[in-house]
Amino acid sequence: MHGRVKVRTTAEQEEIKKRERAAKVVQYKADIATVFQKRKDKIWDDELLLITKRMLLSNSDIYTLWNIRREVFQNNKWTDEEYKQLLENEMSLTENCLKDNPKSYSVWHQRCWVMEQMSEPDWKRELSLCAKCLNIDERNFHCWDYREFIVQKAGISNEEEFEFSTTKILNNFSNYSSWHYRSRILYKMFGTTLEEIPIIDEKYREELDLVMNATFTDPNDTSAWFYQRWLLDKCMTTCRLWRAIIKKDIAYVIIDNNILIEPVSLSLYINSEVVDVQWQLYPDEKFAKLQIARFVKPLENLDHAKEVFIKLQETTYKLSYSEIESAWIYKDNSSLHRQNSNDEQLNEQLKSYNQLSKMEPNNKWALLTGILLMKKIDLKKFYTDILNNLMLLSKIDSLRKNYYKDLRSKLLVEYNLLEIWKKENDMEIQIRIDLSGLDLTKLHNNHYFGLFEIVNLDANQLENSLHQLSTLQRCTRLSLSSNGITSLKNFPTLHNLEFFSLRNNKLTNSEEILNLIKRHKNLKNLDLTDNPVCEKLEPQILNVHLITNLSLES
Amino acid sequence: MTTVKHDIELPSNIPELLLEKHANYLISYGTNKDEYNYSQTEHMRMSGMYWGLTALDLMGKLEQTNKEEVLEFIKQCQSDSGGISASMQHDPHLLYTLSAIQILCMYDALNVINVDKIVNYVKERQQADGSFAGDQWGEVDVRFSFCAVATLSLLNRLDAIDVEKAVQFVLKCMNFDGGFGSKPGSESHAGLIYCCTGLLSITGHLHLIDADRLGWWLCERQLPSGGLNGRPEKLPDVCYSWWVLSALTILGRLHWIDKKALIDYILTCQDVESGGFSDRPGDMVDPFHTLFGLTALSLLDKNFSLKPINPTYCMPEYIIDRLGLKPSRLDA
Repeated sequence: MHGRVKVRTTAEQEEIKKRERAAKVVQYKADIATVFQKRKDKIWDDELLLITKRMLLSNSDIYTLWNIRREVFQNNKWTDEEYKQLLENEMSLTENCLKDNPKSYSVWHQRCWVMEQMSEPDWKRELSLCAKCLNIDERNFHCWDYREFIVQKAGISNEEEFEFSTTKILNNFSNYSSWHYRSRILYKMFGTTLEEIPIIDEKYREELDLVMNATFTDPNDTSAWFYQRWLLDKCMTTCRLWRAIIKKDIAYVIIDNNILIEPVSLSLYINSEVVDVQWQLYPDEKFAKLQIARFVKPLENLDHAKEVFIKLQETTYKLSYSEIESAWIYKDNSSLHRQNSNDEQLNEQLKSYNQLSKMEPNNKWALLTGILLMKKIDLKKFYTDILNNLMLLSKIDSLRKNYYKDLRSKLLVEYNLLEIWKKENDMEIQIRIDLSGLDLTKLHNNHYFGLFEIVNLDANQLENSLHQLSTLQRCTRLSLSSNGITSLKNFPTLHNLEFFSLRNNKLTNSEEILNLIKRHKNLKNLDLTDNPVCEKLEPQILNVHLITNLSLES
Repeated sequence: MTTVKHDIELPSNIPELLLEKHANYLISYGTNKDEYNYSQTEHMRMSGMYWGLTALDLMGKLEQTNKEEVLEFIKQCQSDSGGISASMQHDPHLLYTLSAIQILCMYDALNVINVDKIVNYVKERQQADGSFAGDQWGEVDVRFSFCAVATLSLLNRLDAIDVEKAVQFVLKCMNFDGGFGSKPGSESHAGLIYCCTGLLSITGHLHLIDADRLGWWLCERQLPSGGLNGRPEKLPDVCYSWWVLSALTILGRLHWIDKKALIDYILTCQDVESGGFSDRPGDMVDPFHTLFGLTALSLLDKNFSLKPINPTYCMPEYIIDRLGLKPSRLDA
C-alpha cells in the first residue's frame, strides 16, 4: 500500500464503510468462485469475459484473471471480425484499468499481449498513448518500458529516438527517465570501449555542453548531475594484462578490469611452449585479479629463454627480460598518459562550475563536478583543490560523509600510485610504497598493490578494510601502526610476511594474535607495542611455543 | 542545505521500536478472513505470508504462528506444472514459488512439496537469452531472474539452469548509473538493483558490478529526512530502506548512508496505535512495509532485539547458515 494516508473517521462513517466493504467481499467471493468454476468446466463464454472485466476494473492486479481472459481468446472460434473487435475491447479495458492503476504490471503486460495478437497493429496510436501517459507522469517506468516495446516492434530508428530524447530533455531538464533513455540511445549509436569516454569524442563534447546547460538551469535538481557523472567518470572496460613478473620459482600476474562472466583463461609460454601452471587466486575467488604460481620444480629454461609470453583470453602479451629484476616482466603503463591538461572545453567547464560554487556555496553537485573535472584535467596539478572540495562536501552533505572519506582515499591512493609509477624505470618494478598518515579509510584497486614488498600504511583508518590487504602477497614488511584496529578477524594470510607492525592499535584478543602467528610461517617480527592485548599475551606465547624465532618488540 | 523538492518533514517525536505491537498486528492480520483488505490481497497471499512470517521470525515469534495451516496451504498451491500460486486456484508464478520456498526453508519443511517438480517449473521458465519469464505467459523481468536463481539456490539445485546466461541477461539490464532496470533499456530502480545484486551475489559474480558507481547512486537515495527513495527525485518510502540497504550491504558500502537518520525515519513510520509500518509517516500500514522496516533496522543496528537478516535472501541469517549457503559480499 503506497501513499495511502490513514484518515480518522467518525463512528457513523465507519459503519457505512464497513457495510459497503462487507458487500464488496461477498461480491468478490461470488465472482471469483464463478470464474474458477467456468474455467474448470471450460466454459469460455461472454459472461466469463464480463465478470473478469468487472473484477479487473476494480482490482487490475489479479493476475490470474488476465490469464483466464487470454485463455478465452485462445479457446473460442470467433470470426476474424469478432476477434478483431474483441482485441479492440481488450485495448480499451486495459486503458481504463491504467487510468486507475498506471503502475500495474499485469495490465501493461496484457496490452503487450493484445498488440502481438493483432494482424495490423497500430503502433503509432500506441506511441501517442505513451506520450499522453508520460505527460501525466514523466517517470512512469512501466510506460517507458511499454514504449520501448513499441519502438522495437515498430522498428523505429535510433536517430528518431535520439531526436525524441532531445525534445524530451529540452522540454524538461529535470527528468531522470529522459536522461537515462538518452544514455541508452547514445551508447547504442556512438558507444566506445574506451576507459576515458563512454561515447565517441564528437558526441561526448556535445553532451558535456548540453548537460552543463541543464545543471545551470536548475542546479538543485539531481537528474542531470548523474548523467554528467557518467560522462566524467572512468568506465569499466575489457580485461587486460597489467603487470607480470616471472622468475624461476614464482610468477605473479595482475589483471586489470576483470569483468568477464567466466573465469579468465591465462597461460604462460616459454619459447612458444606452454608451461604447466597452477594459478592461485587472490583474493580467493573465481574472478580475482592477482594470480600467483609457485613452481616446485624451478623453470630452468627461463634463464636462456628467447621469448616469454602470457596469453590472457585471446590476447598475447610479450614479456621483456629485466636485468634489474632478474626476471621476465610485463608493464602496462597506459594509465600514466591520461591527463587532459590542455583540454579547452574541460578547463572552461571547470571555471564555470567554480563560479557556480561561489554563487551557491551550498550546492554539493557543483563541488563534486569540480572534483571530477579536476581529476580528469590534471590530478597532480589540482591535488590540493580536490582535497579542499572534498572537505567542504563532507560538511554540506554530511549524510554521505563516509562516502566522501572513501572517495578521498581512492583519489589519494591513485595519486600516490601514479607518482610511484612515473618514477619507475621501464625495466623496474617498484617494491616500496609509503601511504602513511593519509587518513585512508579504504585501499582502492588493491590489485595494484600485489607487487610491493615493503608497505607502510601507518596512521590511517583502515580498521574496516583489512580484508582488502589480501593482495599484498609479495609483501615482506607491512606496517599498520595507529589504524584503530580492534580485531584481526578479517586480516588475510600474507605468505611472505616477515616483519609486521601493529603498534598502537586497539587489539585485545590474544586468540586472534596466536592465530595470526600460526597462519604466517615466515613471520620473524611482530610488533604489538601499545595494544591492550600485550598485557595478557606474553605468558601465553611462551606456553604455546608456536614459533621459535618470534620476538615481541614490546 | 540544498533544497530538495521531493521529501517530507519528519515529526519531532520519534517513537521507540514497538515490537510487541508489530507482532500483534501481523498475527491478527490473517485471522478475520472475510476482512476486506484480506480478500483484496488474495492474489498475492503467498508473498504476504512470507512478509508476515519473516517479520515474526525476526522478532522471535515464529512459534506463535500456525505452522501446520501454512504448510497445508502451500501444499495446495502447488500446481501440476510444479509452480506455486499466490493462493488456491490462482495460477503458479515464479514470484509466489520463491515466497513459498522461503517459508518452507524457514519452517525447515521442504519435504511437504514436490521439489523436483519445482526445479523443473523454474527451469522451464528460462528463455533463450538467459532471462526468465514469470509464468507460461512470457512476461520477462529481472525480478523473475532473481526469483528463479534464489529458489534454486535455496533448493541447492542451481545446476538445473544456465547460470552464465542468466548472468549475461542481468548485465544487459545494467545502466549508465551502474544500476539495473527490469529489462534491457529500463531505468534503474532500487528494487530491481536489489534483484540483480542479489542474483550476482548468489552466483558469485559481484565483480561485474561497478560498485563505486552503483554504491554512490544508492547512497544518493538518502534524503534530508533520513528516508530513502527508490529513484532520483522520488519521495522516501520505508520499503526502499530494504532494497537500497541490502544492495549497499552486499556491496560492502552500508556505511555510505547516515544510519542514525535512517533509523529515525523508519521509526516514525510505525503506527503507534495499531502496530505495523507504513511507507511514510501517517500512511496506512501493511505487512510488506512492516517486514522491510524491520529488516532494515536489523541491518542498521545490532542493538534492536531483532535477529540478523541476510541481505541477499531477505531471510533470517540463521536459516541461510542452516542451509549452508554462502552468498558472496564485497566486504569480506
